[in-house]
Amino acid sequence: MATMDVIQHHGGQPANFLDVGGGAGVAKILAAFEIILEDPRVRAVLVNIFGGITRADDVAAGVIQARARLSRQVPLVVRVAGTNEAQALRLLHDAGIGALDSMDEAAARVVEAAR
Amino acid sequence: MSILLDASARVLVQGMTGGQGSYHTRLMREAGTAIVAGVTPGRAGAQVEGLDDVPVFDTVADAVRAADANAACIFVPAPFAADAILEDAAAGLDVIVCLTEGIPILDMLRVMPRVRASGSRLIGPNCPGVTTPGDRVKVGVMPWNVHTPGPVGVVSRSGTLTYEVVQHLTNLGAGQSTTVGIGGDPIIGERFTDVLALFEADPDTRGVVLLGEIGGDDEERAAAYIQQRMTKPVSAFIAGKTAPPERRMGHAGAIVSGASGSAPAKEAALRSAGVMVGETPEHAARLLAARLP
Repeated sequence: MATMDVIQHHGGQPANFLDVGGGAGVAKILAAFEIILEDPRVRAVLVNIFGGITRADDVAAGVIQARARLSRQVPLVVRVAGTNEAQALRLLHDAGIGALDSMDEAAARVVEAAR
Repeated sequence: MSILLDASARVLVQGMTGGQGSYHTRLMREAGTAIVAGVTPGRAGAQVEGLDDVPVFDTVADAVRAADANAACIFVPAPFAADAILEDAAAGLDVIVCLTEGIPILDMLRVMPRVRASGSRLIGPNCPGVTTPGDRVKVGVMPWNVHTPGPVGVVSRSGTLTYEVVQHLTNLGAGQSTTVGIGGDPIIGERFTDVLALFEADPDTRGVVLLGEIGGDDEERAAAYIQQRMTKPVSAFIAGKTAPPERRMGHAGAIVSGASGSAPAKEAALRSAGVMVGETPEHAARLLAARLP
């Protein structure tokens, strides 16, 4: 919810609020992308996860799989932190996905990408 | 000093034999927490991978008797979590941290009077737990590596927001005395006012960051308490400024109903009580760090 606030703070308009909930794994991340991209008005996607019970490396694996299977390509901005952060960043890096480490920076970037 | 949990905490984990339970119990232990027992009905004597030396009992009463536990961490699925809380309260544990999301409200209505009568302090449900960095104690699932010991108390209705702000505080050189996630459900144990009172009384806490969100009136009650009783500086961030009304936003308790529970109303109440309200989580961290005595 705070992610939406920060996007708006940076001058963007959130199209969809999707809270994957605590402990989300790969399947949930995949499903989340499918739901979000059903909306044709979505011009960019921000993944912002600070994992506690959720493991950041599971989220990263989900993002990597989702990107490979997406029905349409939109700019993707990823920020992952928290539990298993180092493993997550390694996975994303090996898959050629750049990750940001600050929510503010990520929000600013996705607003820019959606313009 | 700290609040709720210190180096004397001896923690039993209900649901330690499950996937999330065993995984996060290992992380709690890596942080330094004394994990003295697991409890899963019907699994007494079970061995859990990576936790071979932690005995598993059928009941909380057995774990208290054999391992002298004084705090509990609950990873039990929602249908059974209310009973898990009742077992802890009946055993007289000091602190019960319940992480479980989705416990029926009617279950919690049944549980709360018995928790109050027992003298146990319930944190949660649907919360990330409690972390005291200086004593190397973490009960719950907060990422340990963002924490650093120091004078700031953090109390929050949201797990993710807690981690976010703790990270910023740490980056600013403002370590934490204790961070407390009170949970995102409509019915929870300790509320903002309870935790604020503990921070106000704790000599090692010199300022507090409060992280609220839309729904209910806990932030308004916190504002009244701060105005009347608190001498320490408080900053706050309220999530959900952009949330549409009458929609549940991620947490069961996060909903704006009619005129009540909106972010602007909560921010106004806090501001009038002298609380520094941040525009973003990072801003709230900076406001407090700048005011530390």
